[in-house]
Amino acid sequence: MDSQKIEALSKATQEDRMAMLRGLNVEELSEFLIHHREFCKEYHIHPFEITKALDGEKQKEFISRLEQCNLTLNEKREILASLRPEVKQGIDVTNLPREYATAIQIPTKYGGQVAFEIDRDFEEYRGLDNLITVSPEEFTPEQRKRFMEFCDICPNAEVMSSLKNVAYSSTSSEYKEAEEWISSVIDNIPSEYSQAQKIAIIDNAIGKKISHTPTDGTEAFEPQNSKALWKIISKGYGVCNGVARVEQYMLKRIGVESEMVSGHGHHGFLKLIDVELPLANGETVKGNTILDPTWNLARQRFGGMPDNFCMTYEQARKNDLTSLGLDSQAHKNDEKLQDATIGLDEQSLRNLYTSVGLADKEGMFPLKNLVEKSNAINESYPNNPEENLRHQFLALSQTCPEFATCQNSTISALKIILDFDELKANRCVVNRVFDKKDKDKNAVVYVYLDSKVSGKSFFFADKNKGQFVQLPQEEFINRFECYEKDLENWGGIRPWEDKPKEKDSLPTKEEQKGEEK
Amino acid sequence: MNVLERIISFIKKIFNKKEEIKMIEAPKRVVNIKEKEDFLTSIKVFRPIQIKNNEIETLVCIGDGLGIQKNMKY
Repeated sequence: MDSQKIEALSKATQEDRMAMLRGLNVEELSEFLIHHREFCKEYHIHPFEITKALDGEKQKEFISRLEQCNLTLNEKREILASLRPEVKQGIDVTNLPREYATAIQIPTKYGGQVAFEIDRDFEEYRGLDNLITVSPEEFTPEQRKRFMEFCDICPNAEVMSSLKNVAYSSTSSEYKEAEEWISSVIDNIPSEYSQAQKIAIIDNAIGKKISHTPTDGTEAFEPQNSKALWKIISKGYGVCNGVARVEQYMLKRIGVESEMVSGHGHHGFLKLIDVELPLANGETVKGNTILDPTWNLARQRFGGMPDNFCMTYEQARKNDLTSLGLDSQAHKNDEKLQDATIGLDEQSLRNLYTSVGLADKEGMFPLKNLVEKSNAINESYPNNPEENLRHQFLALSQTCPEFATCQNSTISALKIILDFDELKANRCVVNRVFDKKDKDKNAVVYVYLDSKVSGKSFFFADKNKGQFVQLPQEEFINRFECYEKDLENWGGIRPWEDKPKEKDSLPTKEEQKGEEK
Repeated sequence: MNVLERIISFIKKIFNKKEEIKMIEAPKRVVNIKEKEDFLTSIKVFRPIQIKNNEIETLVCIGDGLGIQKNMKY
């Protein structure tokens, strides 16, 4: 293939590129695959994606040249498995190597995708990851167990989960990791626990494992990664309806039915159906209740009171009101939630979490220890804001060693423990930035303090060191940048940049001229 | 209506004749709009709105999937 054609291929979109390659005659195609391995690698071109769309005659001709092409065994198997059924039928497999024969004999669906069979010898699927898509949400326990074996053989197969009738993709290795974690949580719940106790344990485990996607709403946000059930667990990040889906999936395992609900603020959460809740007065109530796993994430991670756990509709709506009286309407959905009439009052919630060992005998949650430690630090360093901050960060890291990787939960916790007045702050910002060298723009938590005593200080949560690291202003500004969305919300000014100074007098003539310009 | 009434009505009309409405004259000096704008600009003082924030500021907790959450309690 001449350099002009290669240049044209490199400039084309992936779709056009594949169409151009499919348009080549078989000889040209073989030559291309032999001599342009690097090009294929660079542009993520899998040979089977070209051959599966060829007509029957071209496929036959290509197969006759298969051994001459410089392809790996897996690439050859992918090509053979994705041939048209009529072409496959015409191939005599008796004298072919077993790897080729089994690939040809694998049933396929439209588009050359493998029709996955849970009872098949999984060894036959080895190397065909790119051709396999499975939807295992409704698998029985036995099927799940067997599918885990498949995940070891084909770790990069596509595993689909659904959310609001849209399919989201995880890999089979992510599936395996997630399912092992789910089993570790559920299998460790004492069998004598009540339904409510089991739900409490699961909600806590989710909060300890998952954090709200820190790039949500920014230019770096990829919804695919935050809504795929098993990927959320594996990566530890999800958005509201994705997290709710994880909890729904886990609750179903312990026999609790639930419904995904969206509030008017486009916030996703769960309505639990027909559950039993124990009240502090000794009564037990049964009915529908609201559980918002996303709003509990930071609370569960840092041992706060999970006050979005099993609420009546009235309680949920009260939580929508801010201290300024604004209604976020996050849980407003009269139609679906009018029958969510049972919930736990504060004392009942404390009792429930005490009964499963996640709150102390008095019903106090572990966050109390962190807050008390934080208060003691404030008393120890009344006139040294930087030293105060360093000790606050240390206390935070002792409570949650993984704080740098659960960014949004950490931001919520810092909002509780950092004291504006004790830091003698003119301004204190806790937010997210990204490293300018990071092409994925992953979120990094930072704290910017402008103190009356110590001036401007910059700290960022270092994922590698697992601690907050202080940087001089210039170094921080050179290294990190705000997301476009945050900049927009800040009115185009980075928090550490000076705002225009207030003027007390009329502008001079020179200033007037300057403004006119 | 008899003849006498018609005569009286005719006489009344003659004596009660209203004055024609006179329009106010347009000012003869043309107002220079640009001059006026320049004057308004010249007396403006640039005062950006400055809200004193006495709390730890965050952005990601507001409005997005996290919603507007209340602070954690224990």
